[in-house]
Amino acid sequence: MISKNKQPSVPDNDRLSAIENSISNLEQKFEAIENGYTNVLNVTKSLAEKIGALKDVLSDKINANEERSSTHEVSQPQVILAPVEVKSKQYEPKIVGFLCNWCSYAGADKAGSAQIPYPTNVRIVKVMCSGRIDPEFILKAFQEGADGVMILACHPGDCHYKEGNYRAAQRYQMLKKLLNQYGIEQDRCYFDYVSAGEGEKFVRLITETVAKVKSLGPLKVLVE
Amino acid sequence: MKVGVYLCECGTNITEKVDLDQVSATISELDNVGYVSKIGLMCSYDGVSVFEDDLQKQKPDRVVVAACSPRDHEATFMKAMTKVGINQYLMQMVNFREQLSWVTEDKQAATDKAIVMLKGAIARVVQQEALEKKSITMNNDVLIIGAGPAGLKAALTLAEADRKVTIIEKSPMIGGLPVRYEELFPKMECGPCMLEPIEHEILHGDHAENIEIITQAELKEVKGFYGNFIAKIIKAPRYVDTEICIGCAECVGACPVSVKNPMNSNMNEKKAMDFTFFGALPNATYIDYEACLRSKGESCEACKTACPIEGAVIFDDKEEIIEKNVGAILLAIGTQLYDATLLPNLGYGALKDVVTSYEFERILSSGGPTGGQILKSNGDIPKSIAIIHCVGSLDENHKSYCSGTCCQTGFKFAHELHHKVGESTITHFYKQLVFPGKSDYPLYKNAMNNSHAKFVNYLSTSDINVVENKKGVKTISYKDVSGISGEIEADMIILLPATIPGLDNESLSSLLEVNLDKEGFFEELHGLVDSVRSKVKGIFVAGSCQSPTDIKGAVNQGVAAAGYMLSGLVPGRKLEIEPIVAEVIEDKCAGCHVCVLVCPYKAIQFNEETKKSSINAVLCQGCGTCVSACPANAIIGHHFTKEEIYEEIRGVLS
Amino acid sequence: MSKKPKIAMYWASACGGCEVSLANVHEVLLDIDANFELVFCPCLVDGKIKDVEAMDDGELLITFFNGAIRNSENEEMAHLLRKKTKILIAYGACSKDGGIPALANLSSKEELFNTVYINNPSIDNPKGIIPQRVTIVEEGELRIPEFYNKVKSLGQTVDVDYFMPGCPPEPDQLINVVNLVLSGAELPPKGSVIGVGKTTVCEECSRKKSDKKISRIYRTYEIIPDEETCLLEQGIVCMGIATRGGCGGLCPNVNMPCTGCYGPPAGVDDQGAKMIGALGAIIDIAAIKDMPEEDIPDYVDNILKSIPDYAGTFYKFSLATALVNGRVNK
Ligand SMILES: Cc1cc2nc3c(=O)[nH]c(=O)nc-3n(C[C@H](O)[C@H](O)[C@H](O)COP(=O)(O)OP(=O)(O)OC[C@H]3O[C@@H](n4cnc5c(N)ncnc54)[C@H](O)[C@@H]3O)c2cc1C
Ligand code: FES
Repeated sequence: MISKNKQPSVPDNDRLSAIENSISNLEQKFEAIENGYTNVLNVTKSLAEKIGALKDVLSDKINANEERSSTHEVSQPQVILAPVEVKSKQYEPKIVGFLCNWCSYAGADKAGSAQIPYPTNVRIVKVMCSGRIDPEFILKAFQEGADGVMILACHPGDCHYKEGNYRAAQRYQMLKKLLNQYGIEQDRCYFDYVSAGEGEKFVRLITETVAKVKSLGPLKVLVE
Repeated sequence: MKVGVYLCECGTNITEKVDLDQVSATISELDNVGYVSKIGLMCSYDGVSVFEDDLQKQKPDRVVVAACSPRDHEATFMKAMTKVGINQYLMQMVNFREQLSWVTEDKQAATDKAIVMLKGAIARVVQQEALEKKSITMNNDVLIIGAGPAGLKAALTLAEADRKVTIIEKSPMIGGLPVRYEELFPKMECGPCMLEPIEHEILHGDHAENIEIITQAELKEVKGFYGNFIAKIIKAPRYVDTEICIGCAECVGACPVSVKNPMNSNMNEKKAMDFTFFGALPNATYIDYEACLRSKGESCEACKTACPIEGAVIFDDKEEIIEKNVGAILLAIGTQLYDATLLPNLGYGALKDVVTSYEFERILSSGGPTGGQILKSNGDIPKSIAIIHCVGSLDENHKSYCSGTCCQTGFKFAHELHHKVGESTITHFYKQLVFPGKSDYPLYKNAMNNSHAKFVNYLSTSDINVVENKKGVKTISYKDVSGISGEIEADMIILLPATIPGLDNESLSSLLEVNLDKEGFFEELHGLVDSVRSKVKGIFVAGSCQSPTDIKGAVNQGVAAAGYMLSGLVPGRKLEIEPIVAEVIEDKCAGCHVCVLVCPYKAIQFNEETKKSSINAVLCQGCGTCVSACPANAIIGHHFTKEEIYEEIRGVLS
Repeated sequence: MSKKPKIAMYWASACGGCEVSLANVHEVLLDIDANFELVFCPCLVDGKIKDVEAMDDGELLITFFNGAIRNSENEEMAHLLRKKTKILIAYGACSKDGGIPALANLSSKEELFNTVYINNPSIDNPKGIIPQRVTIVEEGELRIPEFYNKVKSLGQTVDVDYFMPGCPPEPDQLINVVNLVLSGAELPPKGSVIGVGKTTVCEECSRKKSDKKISRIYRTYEIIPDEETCLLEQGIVCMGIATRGGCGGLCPNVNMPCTGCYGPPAGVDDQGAKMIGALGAIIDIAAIKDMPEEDIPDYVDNILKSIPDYAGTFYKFSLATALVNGRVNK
């Protein structure tokens, strides 16, 4: 097509489809939010179910145990049961959040400026860069009684110090596997990227992590 | 230890959600807490003076301030501490506003969290140490590599502020690419006319004594760091003394040897003793030694004999090594064009009269092979011309980016063609046309309004095929974006190849430890807010070696870099070294080398004699990545020490 | 009765290698014998617990206590020897940091018993009988020591004067320590780690080291390493960087990666954490730099797949004193 003196321009169709795309993007986002909401509902429901189921299992086991202790020969390793206290107050996990100064801490501040409420369980420890987050800190937090740990870094490419977050990400991949060997569930140690603008993402991550750790229950790292 | 805890009410921003009385009562009971004070609006003028007075009265060993985000007012409170004589690093802030009162609905929950947050900060602050800013003297001189528009304008700006500048230029002339162009877009100004005044200013202006230009020179080695670089420069022999040569060209006429002229892309010849081109500055000839008969053992002295100035021709000129101490270095080494032979279907290199934009610039130039006339290789005036834009650009198999300057170059050519060979037809083949900003549109409009011009929008260079018949007529067959095929004839084809990193980006990158981006350009510290700083402190980048740009962009970057250097290298001022840096404890370092490459700022050096690492506090930015990488905990991250963080963890979990 | 100062060497949960290290001082054993009386060392000389019980408190000048605390007998002996000893030395990796026995902390007691007594191809135990603390037989009650849930180090059980790591400690280091005591020179502060090098194994390893960047990790059988270059640089997980020196770099000097028996270096709480910190830093980040963030984990996992057992690799000798010292209680 040789068009003489024709000014090249973006056809209107393109713009229309661009608008259509962004609308459908928005729709997807709404759907995601809705899903998130039903997810939370589901988690709560399944939690209630699990508690009920647990109670049943426990009473079964207690019965079985009583039976067993009356016989002399023990053929199975004994299951030692701790007395279960039904707490009146809801269990509130303690979570330590390691945040880098430049993006994720700023993201947390952004959530603040936007005044979006979120649970109080996460205690933030600020470092200059996620690269400073020594795996010793995370294990230390668990040792000191944390039920969960969050590591939030700048998105890849955004680290104020260029590369700290890549190294943090590599460390996390190893740490995760180690924690698994310790029986510390993956949900108790969460790694993600939060930019200075992602206040809402920060709130979502905090809310989700708190809910997940809550459903896992307290963690006991014992010297016993 | 006496920790003073200050609780800011932040108007009602904090008190609305946090019961500060309850917080105060609980916190007062903690170990080390000397006192707890409440202040209405701590960051206000009055608030700060209350804070200062109270500090003076109470003389705490450590201070905790629970207020807004440290990103808002940490600096305010640190300054206040310094003012009353308490080391500012003995303070820890707690973010009661952004991360507590504004994000918590339940008042009791907020109050409980407030206490926990404070516990962490108090435990941490007890561990904190007084840190001092150190300072070292700096050299205020600057080394500029590359004498294109970017380098030259930077040099002038610096020299005008009385900084001593050394410019090293690889070629025998200064001015970079644009002095070789007859006309410059967007306003079609004469290239040499526009740049020569700048060059003259550099060579002979009021501040010329502050500028030393070393041509035919390259950087060989650099040691040191911001404020204290030592650069080793190799200068090749020119065999002509630029100081006394009067540029009369007698020697050129006398020289018996002719060779291809690389300045004109070998389209014509030059002498072994010649100018780079006529009008090039410094206005002095040079000997292309490889071409000179003397290099072949002959004893020709034709040029020397012809020279009217005693001593201007120096046959025994030698390579020199020059050492310079400078505070900062500017990289302004420009670019080159993408190799068009990599797109063989366009015929470049195989067919006559298929030329690149640079070659066509030289054809247009009065100092070029045709003396500025647009002629085909057989001497005829071309009747039909095709300009193929986006050669190698916007193409994942070649260069994925848009160089941004080729469209204007193409329109500039259209403009020149119209003036010089008015009746010829011009066909522009393009993928995308760009003409942003307030000045670029007119040339585009001009090209469009040319009644002999056509535009073909194509998708990929593979849709264009150039063939030549026996009579030497070139046919371009193509498929356009809408899939319609066509064919045109062209006497001359001008390719506008992508601008790509220069030959020496790689070697200079490893020499200076400056990173290259994935395209091979010098990587800037930040694409938006710091495009003239590299990641190595004290090494700046400007012009098209950082990213393809026009002259305006290159010059602006050069001047911006000069601005950074002027504000950083101030005579009499010392370089303040941030104390929040990492430091190797020598006794604990086992010399395992784990840390060295972890530092993105090349601040870690390994001493092969002591077998220990050390960290240059000037270069260290304090990220702490090496601290957690050191498997022996032999690196301290000041202000973020293991002890401090451990205590904070303990505190927030207690 | 001899006037020579009395010394003892005891093995708790251990393999006997520590005793071998004593035997490995060769002729110096004669010097030791000339200066000390080895009164209690179940592995080498005859001696009874009741003899120890009969001693005055502090009657033993030095006890080299090796082995971890696995069961109630180990613990009782630790308390007894603590009482009777002036200078109690946690001798060897097990005693200092739990050693290999502490790797059992990754499994519950039930899992361990199941593997050892019930579910194992070489075991014939149809009734599934497992050791009981008390078994009633015709003659009366039979008692065996209680098997604890977790293995502890000596320091986690009793007050320890000095720690001497190694699996086993190098005989030369033992000689150094003995000479130090004999010389009458002032002893290092209580709680010190003695008989060790200044920094980490790297300082003592003679391999050529340079700046580190690795893009693949190999298990030892996957590669024949260059004999001169640092093993870690060749992608072999050598624990030397995060292990206290003192051995002279024995393993890397014979082409085997250090497995960490001297435990964490001074100032390090957790050998594994430091290995993760260092490895995560030296794995080349070039590839992940241009990667969508969701692809990063899989890419890194692929590099890491040659480390099948993190705890077993990074805490082979130091799990008991690590920050998280085994499987968490549920
Ligand atoms: C065909 C063409 C036409 C153009 N026309 C225009 C136009 O009309 N208007 C416009 O605004 N822009 C134009 N441009 C863009 C313009 O050329 C650049 O913006 C400009 O040259 C950038 O200046 P610079 O100083 O960054 O680099 P350059 O001009 O390339 O100068 C770099 C200098 O560094 C030297 N150097 C290289 N390596 C070394 C080394 N290792 N050591 C020492 N010195 C070294 C080089 O010899 C050169 O002198 C055109 C570009 C092309 C390709
Ligand atoms: S600064 Fe945020 S991760 Fe490095």
